[in-house]
Amino acid sequence: MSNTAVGAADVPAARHYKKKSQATAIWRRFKKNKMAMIGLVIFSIMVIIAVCSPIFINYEKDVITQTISQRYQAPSLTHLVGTDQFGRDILCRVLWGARISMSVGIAVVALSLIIGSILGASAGFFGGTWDNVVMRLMDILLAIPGTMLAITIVAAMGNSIPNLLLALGIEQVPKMTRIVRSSVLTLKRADYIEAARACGTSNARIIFRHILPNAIGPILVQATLTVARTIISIAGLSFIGLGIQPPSPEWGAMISEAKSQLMNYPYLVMAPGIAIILTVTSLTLIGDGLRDALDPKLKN
Amino acid sequence: MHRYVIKRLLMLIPVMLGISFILYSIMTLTPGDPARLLLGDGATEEAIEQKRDELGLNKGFFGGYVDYLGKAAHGDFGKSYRSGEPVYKEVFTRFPNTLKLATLAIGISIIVGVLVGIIQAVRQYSLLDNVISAITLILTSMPDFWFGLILIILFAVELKLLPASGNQHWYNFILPGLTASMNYTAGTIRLTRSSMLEVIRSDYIRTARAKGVDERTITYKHALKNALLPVVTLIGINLGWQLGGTIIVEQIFAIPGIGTLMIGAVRSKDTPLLMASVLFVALLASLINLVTDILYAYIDPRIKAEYSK
Amino acid sequence: MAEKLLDIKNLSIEYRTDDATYYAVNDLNLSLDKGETLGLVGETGAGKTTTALSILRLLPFRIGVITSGSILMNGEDMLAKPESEMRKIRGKEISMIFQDPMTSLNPVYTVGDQIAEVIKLHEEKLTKEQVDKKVDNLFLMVGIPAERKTEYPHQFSGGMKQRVVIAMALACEPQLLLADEPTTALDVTIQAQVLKMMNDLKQKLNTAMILITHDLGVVAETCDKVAIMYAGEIIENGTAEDIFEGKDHHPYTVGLFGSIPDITSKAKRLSPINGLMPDPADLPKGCRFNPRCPKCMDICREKAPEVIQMSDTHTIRCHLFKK
Repeated sequence: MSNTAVGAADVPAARHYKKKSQATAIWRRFKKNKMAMIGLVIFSIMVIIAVCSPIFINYEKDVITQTISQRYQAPSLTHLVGTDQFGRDILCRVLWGARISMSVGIAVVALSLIIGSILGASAGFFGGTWDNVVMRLMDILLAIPGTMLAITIVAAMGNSIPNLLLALGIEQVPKMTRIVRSSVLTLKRADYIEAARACGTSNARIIFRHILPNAIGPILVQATLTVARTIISIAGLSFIGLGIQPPSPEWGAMISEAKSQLMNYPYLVMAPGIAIILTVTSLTLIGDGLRDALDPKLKN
Repeated sequence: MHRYVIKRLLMLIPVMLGISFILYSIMTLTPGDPARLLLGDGATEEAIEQKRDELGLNKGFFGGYVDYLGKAAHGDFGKSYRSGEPVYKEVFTRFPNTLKLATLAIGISIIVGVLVGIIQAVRQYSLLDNVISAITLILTSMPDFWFGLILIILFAVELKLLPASGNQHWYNFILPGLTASMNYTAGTIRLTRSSMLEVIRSDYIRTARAKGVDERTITYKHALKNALLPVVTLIGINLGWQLGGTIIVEQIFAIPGIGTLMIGAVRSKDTPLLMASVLFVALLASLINLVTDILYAYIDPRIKAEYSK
Repeated sequence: MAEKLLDIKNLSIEYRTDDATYYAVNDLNLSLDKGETLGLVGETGAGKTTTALSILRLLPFRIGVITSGSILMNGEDMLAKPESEMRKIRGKEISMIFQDPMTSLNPVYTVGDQIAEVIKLHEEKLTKEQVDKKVDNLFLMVGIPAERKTEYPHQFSGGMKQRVVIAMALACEPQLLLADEPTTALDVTIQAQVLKMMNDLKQKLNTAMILITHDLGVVAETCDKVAIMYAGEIIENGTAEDIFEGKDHHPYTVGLFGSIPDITSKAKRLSPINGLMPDPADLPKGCRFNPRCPKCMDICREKAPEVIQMSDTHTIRCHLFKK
């Protein structure tokens, strides 16, 4: 250890260097994981589809318009996966559904991230009564099992988009809060935080420059899982009629519509279901891969 | 240990209060008048006002809540706005169905989950291990309602083996039970597998081998007890979660349980019924969690020491 | 001459992973008589634990492979024995204790049960009372009150846990005890206690011991013979006198002794051995120590040195001493 005093300006610079090389190391480890990379590729394709679908799909014509004469067609060159009971092209609907699911997923993640970070970081950092209040509130939310709370909110408040986001978000906020809080708690005691404090760094600077960058790892993992859970949740809500309504091609709503034709045309439930499975599987693989890449125990 | 249990039981009170307040707020602060919904559009304003008085709706936000708490403290959780029956009666009529569904689902998840997880761990890297991992990954990504529909297609429509709805006979519950258990079973398999793998790498397993213990005893005696610790916690959480999460399954298979009761209550703004059904399930879930934690302490002597402090 | 208890000849062990093959042990020769204590000394990664595990055939399944050599115990070929026979030997004829007492015991079973298990495993004819009595005796032997046998590992301190582990290892009076750095994880004062206890027991039961350690002080106190290991080979072998008081030594041995901090010395800096232990996947050509050896000659980089017999008991593997 040299004898020169470490100035406050030195600490953030050192942190930046560490962060950059950490990020590349993590990415390298992630890349080695075949399954995680497959997940990443698949999910990226879905994102591209979701973003670009308006280019080759016309919402009114391809997704909504019912053409009864074209009902229940088998897969063909014009309709690659066939048509549903209203003559709509199934593939177009499923692809458009990706937009809906992704948007909802991202919106819910953003919401739970913002609220969860604020609550979790403040609870962890300041501790004391505020910490207790926050954690008790999370306990209350978590004590309502299953989807009961989300369903209550949507059924009571009506299923507009903000309400849906609120309902789904409330389910995810406790988990995110916990993760942020525990990251903050662990890091609060870390040595380099003590060093920064000893140099007179302010609390806010400590939170933003030192703690949050290191907490990003577990938060990112939780974020991927949140998107995955949200996609399934919104599909579930739509399925029982409390989420996105038909004729919107939300995957859950599509499955609900196909349900009535279960006896005669069972294959109608296939496409949206497989879309959900594909999306959530790829997200899970990414999340798992991220978790493994972040785990120092697996460092070589 | 007793002190810990009592402390946990006391903690339930503020949690239940918090839940009741949240539910009450959602129900009363959102648009929709239960009296109006009951009497229909053609009713006169006087009739509606009269109904509101009857139902006790004119006491204001906090007045209504305090009123509710007061009565609840005496065990009176009110009557359903819709049916007029005491809510506990409604809940207890429906609850056995949900309970049957939930226990069946958890039972399957425990038996299949733990066994398959152990097999996977013991045969790590084998083809069987990889295939099962792929299957569990897909199952955890699958919506349970979709799985239920697939089961219906297979067993009810094509093979015509099992009924797709109703709750008269025990076999009515097979497809719904499988559906409800699917996600939890897959999750249990994954957790058991990873927990076993971690434990098998432990130093004390190495010690057991150096003592001359055979592989079978190492797996089922030395490793399993340690590996099951997190699995027990998961099962407890799952069971609680199941009780509140069977709503969709109940809808698909037309099983009259708490889930469907709850949705009906929300739609008709039947506040007492909603509060009763959700509070009941939440209380049960919390008690199950407590029992799980106590059970955990009996399996792991280190935790028992923690709780006894 | 009496038959040796343990005779290892030309033992070579590889670790085969997806990334690379690691040459952990290379052409190792070792022997031990009844009741003798051999100190196996070397830095981390030298192959000491691997050697010990191979005696009990406890190398990681499919990854650790014995590629050549023989291990004879009382004249019997250990490598030819089927697994079922090895299980009978483990814990009974040969026992092993490991480095970290904090994690060596199963947390969910009582210490009494864990000791009783090894007794019941190897002496099936004993009644429950006889087993209990034996367990009590063992506790007495290692200095723990017998009432504590119903307690769980987390209720014991590190030193006490290691005593339990030692009791477990000596329960069936093995002929050979493999002790892998048994005191490294303990406080210095506890270290001394545990070592003394091991010594006393060893003498009482006439157990031979291979004591793996990197601490020369411990070796000096307890070992009859010493073998110094580097990069999977024994580079010097002899009695304790040969090693501690002899004149000629392998340069690595000299380095080891020289690197011990001496509070009375006037030296201003520590004098460690330059460089690092070579990567077992990529060993240097010729003498494995040549990149770090202060006395390295041309021939050292080309040809691996043979074992030179310095005296009846003392051998060194180095070109410097070629006669």
